Amino acid sequence: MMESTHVIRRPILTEKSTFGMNEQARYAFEVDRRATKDDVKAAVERIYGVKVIGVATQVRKGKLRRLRYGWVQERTSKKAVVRLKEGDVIELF
Amino acid sequence: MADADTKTSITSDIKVEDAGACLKKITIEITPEAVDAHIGESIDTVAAEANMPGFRKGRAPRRLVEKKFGPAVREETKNRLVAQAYQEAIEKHELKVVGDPQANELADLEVVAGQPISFTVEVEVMPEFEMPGLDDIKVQKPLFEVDDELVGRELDKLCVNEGELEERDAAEPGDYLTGHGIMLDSKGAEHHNIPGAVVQVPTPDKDGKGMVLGVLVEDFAKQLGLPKPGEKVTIKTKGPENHEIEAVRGEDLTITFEVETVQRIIKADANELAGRYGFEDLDGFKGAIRGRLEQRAAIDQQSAMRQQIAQHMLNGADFQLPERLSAQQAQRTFERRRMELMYRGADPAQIEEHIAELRAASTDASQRELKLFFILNKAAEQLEVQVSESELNGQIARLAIERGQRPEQFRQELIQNNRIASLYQQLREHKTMDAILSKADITDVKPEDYKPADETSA
Repeated sequence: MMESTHVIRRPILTEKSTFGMNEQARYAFEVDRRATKDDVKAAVERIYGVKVIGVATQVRKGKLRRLRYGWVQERTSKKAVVRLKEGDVIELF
Repeated sequence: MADADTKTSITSDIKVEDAGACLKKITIEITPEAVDAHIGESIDTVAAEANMPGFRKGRAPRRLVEKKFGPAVREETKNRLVAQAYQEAIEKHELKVVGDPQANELADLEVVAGQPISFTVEVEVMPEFEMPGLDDIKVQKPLFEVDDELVGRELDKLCVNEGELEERDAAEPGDYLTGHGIMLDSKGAEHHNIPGAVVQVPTPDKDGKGMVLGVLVEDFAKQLGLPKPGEKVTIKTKGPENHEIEAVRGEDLTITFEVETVQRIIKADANELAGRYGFEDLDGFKGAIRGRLEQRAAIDQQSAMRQQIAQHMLNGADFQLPERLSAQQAQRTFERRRMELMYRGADPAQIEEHIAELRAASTDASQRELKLFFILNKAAEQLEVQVSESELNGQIARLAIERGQRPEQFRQELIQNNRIASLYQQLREHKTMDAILSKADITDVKPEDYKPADETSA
């Protein structure tokens, strides 16, 4: 199992994730590409002291972008949306 | 909405204490409710406009905006609250503030939601004093006469002004030198660097005194010598105590002047000049000059009487001046004097020479001007003297004609140099003194019997 602090890279703060946080107790994080759902669940529970009841993950493949000096491949990232037990809250900001 | 805000008091406590001559210490406390309301309002305004990654414009959550922009918003709110509270304190206690307020602790002041803000400022206020009596002041009215000699001198001056410049190989007294002037202080700091500066080699009647880059030098003729084009002259002098640039005051100055050209004014022929001005003969021209001089004599007569009024008021009112303001007075004194000289019809070179002399004068002159300003201000209030827009425009037009400029051009020049306020002030003071003069006990005296009051700007 991966180290908790290595699993969670950063919380994702967008309009969509904020809506999920406020209305459905769903929190989005960017996580390590190699982390499993179990890793994410354990990491969130350990870091934030909350009870996770569901984890959904998705891998976003880095796009190929053209810059002035050629083509570059963006980093592939993994996003995890965790659902918390009713009443649990994470203070992200 | 804005009106409603300004009418609601944001202060809970305002204390005003005396802290010296014309100095008040104001302690102000702003209510926690006002602090909350203002911070909230500012954050809402920022949130509505904020562009944050991941959010459409204005859709970012308020708390996130607060976290990101909080310190800047609080700082801005602090400034707004302090300014509003200060204004409220001034209005509530009807303080007549002069100069800028001083507050050293404001930078360290922290604005925390739900907590009051308390701060102290020191302000200088208009001095309070007993006005001398304004009725039946004894005033002498000198009856200046315009004789042929005066007309001749004026004609001579015009011939010089309209004369042509002739380039010379070497300078002689009275010649004009054009060149590059640099003023450095004892630490090597540069205060002026003027290509195309002009200096006049002092004429014998000036006792060797002369002006360079706005500074009057006692032994200018000796230091300058009679340079030729291409020569570099170094002038050493002491910075005038009243110079507008603080760093120059009392400093040992080194002025280098590299002479580029030496020019002499060749006077225009009087008959030719009369033709140029559209007169048939010299007598007609002299008649016009006489008319102009008579107008100027009337102004001088009025100025002489105003000087006596000013002297009476200065003698009759005793009070201490705000210290800080006295130190900052120099610039305003020069502007007042410049306006007065323009009004009296002095030519630009004469004005600058006079200003240079004033820079060299003691601080007493500045203090005297400041004192007179306060007295006349109070007298203007007492006599309800107002200056209308049309009066101001009329004065601008008159001065412009005197200087041979178009009124709009002169007005623009005044605005650019921030001199319009000085002109307004001068008009108000003149009107005040004229109002006092209308109630004065005036006696006609011959010019030789007239004893001028001490020199004032009035």
